[in-house]
Amino acid sequence: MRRIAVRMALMAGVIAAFLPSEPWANGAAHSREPIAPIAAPSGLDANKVALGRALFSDPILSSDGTVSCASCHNLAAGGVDRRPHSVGVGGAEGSVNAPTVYNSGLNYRQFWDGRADTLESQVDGPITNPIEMNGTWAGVLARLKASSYRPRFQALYGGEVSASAVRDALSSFERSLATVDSRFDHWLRGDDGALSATERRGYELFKSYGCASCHQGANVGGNMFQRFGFFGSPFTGTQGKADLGRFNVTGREEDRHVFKVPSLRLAVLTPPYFHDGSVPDLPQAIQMMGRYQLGRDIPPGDIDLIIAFLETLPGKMDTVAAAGSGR
Amino acid sequence: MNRLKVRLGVVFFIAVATLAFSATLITRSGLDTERHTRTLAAFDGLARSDTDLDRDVLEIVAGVLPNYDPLTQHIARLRTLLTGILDGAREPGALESAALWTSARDRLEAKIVAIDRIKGIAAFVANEGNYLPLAISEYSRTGPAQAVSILNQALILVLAANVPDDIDARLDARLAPLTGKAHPSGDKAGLIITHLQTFAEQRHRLRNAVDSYFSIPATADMVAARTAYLDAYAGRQAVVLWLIRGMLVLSAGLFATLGWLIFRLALADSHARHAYERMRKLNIAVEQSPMVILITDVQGVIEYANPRFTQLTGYRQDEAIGAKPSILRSGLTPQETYEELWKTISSGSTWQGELVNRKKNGELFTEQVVISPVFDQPGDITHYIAMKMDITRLRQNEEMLADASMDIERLLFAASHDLQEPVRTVTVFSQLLQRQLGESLPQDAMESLTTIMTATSQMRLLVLGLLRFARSGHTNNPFVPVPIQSLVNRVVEDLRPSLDGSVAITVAELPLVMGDASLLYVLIESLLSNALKFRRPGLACEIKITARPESHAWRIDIADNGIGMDPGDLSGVLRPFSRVHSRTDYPGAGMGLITALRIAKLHGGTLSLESALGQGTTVHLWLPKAGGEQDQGD
Repeated sequence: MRRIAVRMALMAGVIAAFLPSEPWANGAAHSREPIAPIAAPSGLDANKVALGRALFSDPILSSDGTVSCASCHNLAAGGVDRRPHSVGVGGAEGSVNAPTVYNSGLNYRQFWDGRADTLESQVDGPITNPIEMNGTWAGVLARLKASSYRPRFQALYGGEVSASAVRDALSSFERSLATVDSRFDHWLRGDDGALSATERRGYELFKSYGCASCHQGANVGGNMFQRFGFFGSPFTGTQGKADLGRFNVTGREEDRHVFKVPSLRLAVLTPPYFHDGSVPDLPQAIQMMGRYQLGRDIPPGDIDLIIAFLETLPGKMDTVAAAGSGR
Repeated sequence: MNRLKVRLGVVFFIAVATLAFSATLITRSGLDTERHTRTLAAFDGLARSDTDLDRDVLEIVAGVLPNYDPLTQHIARLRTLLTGILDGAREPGALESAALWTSARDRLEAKIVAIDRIKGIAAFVANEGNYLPLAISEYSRTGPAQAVSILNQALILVLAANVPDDIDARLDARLAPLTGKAHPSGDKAGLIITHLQTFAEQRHRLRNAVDSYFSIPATADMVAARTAYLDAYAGRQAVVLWLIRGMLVLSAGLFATLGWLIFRLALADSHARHAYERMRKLNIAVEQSPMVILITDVQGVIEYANPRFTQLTGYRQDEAIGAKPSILRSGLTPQETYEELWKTISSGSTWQGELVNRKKNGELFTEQVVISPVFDQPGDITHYIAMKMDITRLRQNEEMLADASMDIERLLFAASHDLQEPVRTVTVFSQLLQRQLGESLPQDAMESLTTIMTATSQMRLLVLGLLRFARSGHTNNPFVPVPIQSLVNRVVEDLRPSLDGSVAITVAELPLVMGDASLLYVLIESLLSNALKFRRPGLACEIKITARPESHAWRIDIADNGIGMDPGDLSGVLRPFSRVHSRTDYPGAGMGLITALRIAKLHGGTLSLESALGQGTTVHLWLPKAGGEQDQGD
């Protein structure tokens, strides 16, 4: 019975492939698009967000007091450091490219290999990673207890400063970092004039080439894993452990070179590209994606149009943090 | 009563404890029900999420899901529910399904992993499904028709709904005419072939991934866990229900017992109140009693003395209690009396007697005393109760009365005795005067003389009667056995001179009684004289004397056939100087019957009359039997 259902679904999939791509796009709002508008975050405690914001920019979390979250996730610069690999305490260099912290609440897993299920569990990574903040929870908590943060924690969470409270505060702040009100979202909500004809053409190409098969959802990515390299291998030369992707988490052969599909919401603001930051600009990244993922060579003209579309994706940045990040 | 109260307390405590326990059970069962509702809601949510996932997968495969965000949300919700249920399953009483739940969770996690795979492959497959027809169609404009045809056939093969396991081989076979040639780099046909091969490979993978997704028996696990949970819950509820029922029945029974005990207690209380009421009345009676009442212990120490005791003796209650009644001892009561008293009461009998005692102020008094022992249940003496009456005054009065009575009798005797002489002198000289003067006396003088003589004779009778009456009051002679038979015979002999032939006296056999023979003679004589005196004119006089024994006495009947009396007059004839008939008709002192009665009483007997006018009179005389002589000791 179920098998028949699966067969029928597969058949339907084949039929769907030949259907016009936008059979429902007649209404004012574009509700059946692969990309959805970002909803304003709700249900957050403003005090916890404020505490998380303070902690985010405070190097107190790192072992030597030199690195904060904001060191690698510059909120004024698209939530990234624009380096191929981030630099941690003592100038240690990591092995992957820092993804943006914006819209990270929309990702269904964290890190390139998705090893953290939630933002809360993601916090542990940078704090204890020797080449990032190189700390321990005991050290972090001791420093926080000796600081002026202590009463704020006690007031908000009751009791002594704890790792779970730190995780919660940081996660609350990160969830507040949703780049709402982009031009593209306006268009999705029915404002047809929000996009130019060029940009709309770019979006059509983005869908017809198949980019939107993976880069979809509110975060234009970030909600699935995908193998890097269906048509040939993009990995040339020596491969590092980080290149194994999700294999490092699951140990399954089929997860080799599988990565979380990154969000393209702020792609135009966050070079360099790919997990290893090996690609410095967007045209090259799009060209490589076409070749290895789609098995096609995308003409430069189309790439420009696609970039024009990508320019419409960023929404509001965190203005408070952006203004204060100069210090 | 106290035992009852203790029992009452215990039953009350148990009843309350039982009730409290039942209440706890009910509350806990209520909490359990609440948790149960939550768990069921989680089950339903989980089942719904699982269904959502399945539908999402079908939609992915069908290519109708615009993006994966709903799927991501479904997975997040499923994770939350699963965590909640597993936390719930860790609670005590839910352990039975924990293992099942762990297995269900593992399978749901496996589903999520499978979905991750499906998402990736499906995205690729969708792209190829879009691209390949376009690519072949573009190639058909420039490429050789045969190659285009092969590619189209290959595409149809790959797009077939049923993806066979050997699709790669079949595709290679179909593409063999094209793959044999060398393809220069950038060759369109070569690119399409590569796409077709990758497409086939990924479609195959997708089919396997979807098949493996649907072969994960997460639903069955959840149903099994749900069933196990429901069974366990029903079992637990049933046990709790029976426990609650049992507890409620138990506490109902306990409260019924409680009610019964309270009723018993109230009853006992009312009994106690009645007993107290009775005691109070008795106490008042004792306190107000004109008799002196003393209660002593077995040693004779006074435990209670009523107010009359204080009134009589002058000793206050606090002085009396703790002391012995010997404080009253005057020394005038003989020592033997006390010895007898103690001997009697200590043997368990009641003693009564008189004691001469001394008051606190030294005054002597005589009291009549009754002392009774009080026994406890086994029959041992615990107390003595003495009831005493002051008889000092009574004794004095008795003595004075006896003295006065004696004086009167002496006076009467002296008077009647001394009057005999002048009466006899008047009689003798009247007779002498009659003889001396004889017929010489004028008629009227003769009548006067006769009147004097008649009066004198009457007077003699009166004096004799008085004398006899005075003598009949007491006797100085000791009682001896007196044969009534011979006494009657003697009286008849003595009366014979005055009898005429018309008198018939029959005497039956008569008994022997104890008494004073001379007084009894007077008694019989008086009665016989009366019988002879009041005979009916013109009728032969018949007197019958009979005797018959009664319980303690002999009844002697003296029956005549004389004139008799009206029964209404009977009560009067037993008073002194009373007479029914005129003196002229029947001369006499009027003292006969009263004298007879006095004598009978002196002997411990009595007499009564039975008579009817014109029918004769019967005198019943009772005299004690000879055996009852002790009773005469007064």
